[in-house]
Amino acid sequence: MNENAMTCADCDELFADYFEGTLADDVRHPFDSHISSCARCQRLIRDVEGIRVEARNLPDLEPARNLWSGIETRIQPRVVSIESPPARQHSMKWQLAAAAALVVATSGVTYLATTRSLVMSSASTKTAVAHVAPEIRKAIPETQVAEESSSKVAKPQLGAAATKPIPARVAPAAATPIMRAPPHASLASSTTASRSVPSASEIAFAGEISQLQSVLADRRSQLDPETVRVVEDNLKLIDTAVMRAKAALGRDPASGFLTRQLDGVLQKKVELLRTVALLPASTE
Amino acid sequence: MMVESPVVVDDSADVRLAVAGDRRAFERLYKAHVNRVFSVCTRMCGSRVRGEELTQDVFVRAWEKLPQFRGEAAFSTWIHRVAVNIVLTDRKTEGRKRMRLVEDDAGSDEAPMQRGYVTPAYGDNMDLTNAMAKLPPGARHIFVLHDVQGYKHEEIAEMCGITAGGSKAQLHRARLLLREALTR
Repeated sequence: MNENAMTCADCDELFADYFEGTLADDVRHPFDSHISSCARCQRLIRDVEGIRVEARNLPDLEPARNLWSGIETRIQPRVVSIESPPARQHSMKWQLAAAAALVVATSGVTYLATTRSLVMSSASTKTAVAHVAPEIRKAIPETQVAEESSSKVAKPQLGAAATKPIPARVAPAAATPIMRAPPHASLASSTTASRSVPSASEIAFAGEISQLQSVLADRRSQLDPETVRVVEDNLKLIDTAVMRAKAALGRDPASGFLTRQLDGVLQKKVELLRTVALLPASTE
Repeated sequence: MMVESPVVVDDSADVRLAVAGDRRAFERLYKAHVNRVFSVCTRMCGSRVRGEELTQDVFVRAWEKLPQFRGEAAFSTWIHRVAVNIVLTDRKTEGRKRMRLVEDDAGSDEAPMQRGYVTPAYGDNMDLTNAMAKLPPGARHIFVLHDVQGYKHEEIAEMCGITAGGSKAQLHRARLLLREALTR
């Protein structure tokens, strides 16, 4: 570049480097020579330098309104340090693990109960009754199997063909931890008549209820005592409803309405127990 | 490195209290730094109204991030950087929203206010602040960061995701646009 040939356009290309202080040595002398004799370029440099100085000395601005109230409503007290693992995470992990275990356990029990009830429909009464879950035995303390009149139409049961419940009786010794055939089971099994065995849905409910109750028993100490009390009161009400539905079914075994009522009540019991099984532990 | 405020305020005690969750201490930090944060927000976004909103965002974010503040830099430097990041992120978000309405300033010298991007700022007199508000956003950010806040091109390049050379070019363009606006 010839120093005598440098124009304003040439300088315009170099102004950025000039203001940054990075102008190359080989162009500095011709650049300075042009500036010293060019009013237009001198004015540009003066104006830009003025802007730089003014920008550097701009005073702080002040907001027209108090912004703190808006900020304060958006910030929450920092109760737990972000860096320390919150205890809640363990609780959630435990809950997830418990829920997963619950799903596996109940699914397995339901599958087994349903499968076995299908087998029971063609097997002997003794075998069928032997698979009745503890919950059903508790709900139906004494189920007496009796021969049915062949003239009666058997009430269809889910998963069990031609079975029919008979009236329950109150017996002095009800629950027993050992699974055994109820009284007169042998008598029923010795006949080809239909007999009273729980339906597949009852068996399925019983299995799940049994599992959930054991979960509840394990978690009892973790839950709020008042919550436990409310849950137990509700379970008593549900058990009463179960017993009444069964008693009514004993009087009217062919009633589809009563059968649905019984199933509905058992379903509610399962739902309540599921809910309780997943309740968070008491924080107190 | 950006130019530090000439008035040095020892707010380390309030910082420690705020990190521990003391909102009153954080309010004191707010009072000490709000004008500076508001200034950078408003000058970078070109609108006082938006500047106020962004200022609130900055302090909320600062509160959330305080446990990560190690004290390696001054709190004023740290919160200033938070403010710049908030504004730049807001620009990206707003840019996506207005993709159909606003051209990228790299392809247009049209002032953003003329395109409806920036609300009118500080009155009718054409001072430097008003002229800055009318710059295209990219050029305005770099002018504010370099000539007002004192960041170096390398720092600006890192923050804005551009090269140092691009920052220099945008700065020169901004200065010439401002000169044109102020001498019109």
